[in-house]
Amino acid sequence: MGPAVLELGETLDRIDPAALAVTGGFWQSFVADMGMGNYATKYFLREPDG
Amino acid sequence: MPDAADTRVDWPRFKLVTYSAPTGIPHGWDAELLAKGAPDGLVCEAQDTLTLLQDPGSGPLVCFGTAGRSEHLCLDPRTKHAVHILYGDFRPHQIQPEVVGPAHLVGSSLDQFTAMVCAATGRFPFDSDLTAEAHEDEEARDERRFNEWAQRC
Repeated sequence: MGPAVLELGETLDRIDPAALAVTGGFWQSFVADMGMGNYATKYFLREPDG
Repeated sequence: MPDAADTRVDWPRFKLVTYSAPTGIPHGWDAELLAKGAPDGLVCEAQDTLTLLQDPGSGPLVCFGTAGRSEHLCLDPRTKHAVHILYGDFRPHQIQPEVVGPAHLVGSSLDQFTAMVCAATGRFPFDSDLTAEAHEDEEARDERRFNEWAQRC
């Protein structure tokens, strides 16, 4: 998860540094959640048919 | 690494959800969202309709998306900022939902918020790094990543 967190954090900061700078805010929480694996691919798997 | 063709994965997709007038939002506060639409992706689920929410702290907000059961994403018509606010029934036996806490900035503009949702959605999956050139220096890497984002969004 590490490189993806850094990369996306840099991209978000480049788009809107003020929004990313909100301490404990929406984007910081998202990046932190992402770093903890809360958006891992395994959580997006479809239910098997049948 | 899974990719977008992997049918086992419910792949998050970015799109813009558009709205038609009249929305019932007064004073033209819906104009920007009518013109541009609302982002729908990994961290923001666009609503089917725009709704007006009265925030005691910041005034009227035009809400266009959710990020969870009681997490609303709205446009402040006075500042043009995109904000995140908690609105729901948080106490036992509560009948009327209420705003809890202040609105927090999530985008200095609707365009910037939309771009961030697009970037976050487009970066999925997060389980592996993008292939980088071994000889790439930091500045070149940053430029490449930003260009990749710009092409997606």
